[in-house]
Amino acid sequence: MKYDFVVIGSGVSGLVSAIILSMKGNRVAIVEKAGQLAPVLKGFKRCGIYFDTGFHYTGSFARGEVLDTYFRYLGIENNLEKVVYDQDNFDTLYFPSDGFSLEFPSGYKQIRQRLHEKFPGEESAIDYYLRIVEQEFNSSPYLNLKMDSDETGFFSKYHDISLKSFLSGLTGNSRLAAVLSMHFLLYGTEPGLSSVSIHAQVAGSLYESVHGIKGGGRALAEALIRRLKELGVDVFSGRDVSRIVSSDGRFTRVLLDEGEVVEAKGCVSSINPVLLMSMVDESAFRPATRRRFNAFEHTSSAFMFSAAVDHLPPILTRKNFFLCPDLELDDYCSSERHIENRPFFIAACAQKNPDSKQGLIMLCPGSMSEVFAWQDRVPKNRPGEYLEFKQRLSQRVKEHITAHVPEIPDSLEILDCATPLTFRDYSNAPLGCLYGIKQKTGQINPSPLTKIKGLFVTGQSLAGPGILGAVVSAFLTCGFILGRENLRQEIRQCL
Amino acid sequence: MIQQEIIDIVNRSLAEEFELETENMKPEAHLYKDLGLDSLDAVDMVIVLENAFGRKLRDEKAILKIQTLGDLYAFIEESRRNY
Repeated sequence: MKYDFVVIGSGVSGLVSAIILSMKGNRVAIVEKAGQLAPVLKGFKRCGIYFDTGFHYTGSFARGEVLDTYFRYLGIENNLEKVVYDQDNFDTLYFPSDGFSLEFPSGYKQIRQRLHEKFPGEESAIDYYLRIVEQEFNSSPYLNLKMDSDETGFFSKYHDISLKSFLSGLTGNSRLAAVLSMHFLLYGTEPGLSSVSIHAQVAGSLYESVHGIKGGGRALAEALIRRLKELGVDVFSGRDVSRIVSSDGRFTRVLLDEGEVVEAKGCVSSINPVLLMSMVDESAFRPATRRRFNAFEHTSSAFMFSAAVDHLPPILTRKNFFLCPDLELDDYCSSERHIENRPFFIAACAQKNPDSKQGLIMLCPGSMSEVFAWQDRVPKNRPGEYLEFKQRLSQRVKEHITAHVPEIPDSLEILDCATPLTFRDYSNAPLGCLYGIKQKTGQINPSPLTKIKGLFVTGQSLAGPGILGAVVSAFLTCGFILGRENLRQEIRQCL
Repeated sequence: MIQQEIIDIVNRSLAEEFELETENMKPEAHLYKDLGLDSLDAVDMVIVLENAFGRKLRDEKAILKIQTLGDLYAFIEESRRNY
């Protein structure tokens, strides 16, 4: 069977790429290593409670905003029910060391006003910061579809400036700088390393509007998969790609581990770029490109604790909670920190459960080095010490969270703990990184094109992290295949 | 007069990083038509030369005008004067 395109990986960028290519009349196959499609986005159940892994909330999803427009183009909007987050407080940042807290409201005007109230004397720094975030967000033709052309340069001023140095030029108030930088936890590159541009793409989308999806990541995965099936995309799940084959510099087929072959005219890979290099002919990338790819750092991995409570506290009702240990954000992801000194992102589960128990997740940075001893074991075959390690960690986190976040009820019961090994196993990400490669200042990310004609790359935070970043990346890559300006004009019809 | 040092560094870096034959690397050689580079390589070329010369070379307008190796030498020379 010969396809027009084979897509490798069924995360958001892979699914969206398959849908776009199929909508344009191509015969498409999608290959997924896990037994089911979208294994991370789909979340999981423990003790009958559904937990989200890959998706908790998103920006720019209000009617007419960019994510909403992309979803309408894909034809999945009718199967998704938006949940508006608390407009007066979508995220709470709380510093237990001195009791400082900031409730982030939605909308630039409201954020500006809230920050002015909390940081008197810093008005000009706040205004300048918000203006640059909005300007940078809107200077991307894939985030601002109202722009007439998709012409952008490789290099922009704010791509070369780190968030930390930008903020230290604006204010000497280290708390303000920390508060404005805290959403770096949603893209995993510390403020000293990340560019103002990448920060603006993520924070800027949340400053526009904040939504969840009823049913969580699983509802989004189901909507995408339903569309995929409607379009007749063939699915090869539970199959690992062993080799991407080219001949005379042109892609020809992928080889699967059991000797199966999928032939196609083109291939879209959503595999981590560093892993991809080991699966293709050397000629696919110049030595200079290989060196650049190999120098990419992976974002931090995490520990994720899934827990049940007998009732959901108001601090988690249509809002999230950041427990912030100190102002040293550049050190937040260090594995040297005791778990009690790490930042925690706490969010409620998107599905209401029929019985009285409600679910929440608590996520903190973690490193593969902490679970190194068990890295060669497969998920179902890890020894008792690994389980004991997880139980000890869970107990400490329970004590820590209930002591420092009084609103979380004492009924908190930790049901499971995902480790960097879990993230590695489910997302096939090196070292279990949460957000693909680090988006550093001045770094030039892989282009969707490779030296092999017909082989394209997508996802992995190449364009940006999160659902929005993955969707943008898929559209960008498919634009290279189908004609960028044409595709963008078609999307603009959905505005 | 362009310094021989610049020519040597550019040629050495490009030969190594882009697998080019040194005998083809003449000032009049066209980067795209004669040396087989393409727009995809332009980004890596900038990074390789930034590392080789230890300074930022991200002047996009000037980069887009570069057609031949000779243009590239002149661009590096010019960037040094402005540095």
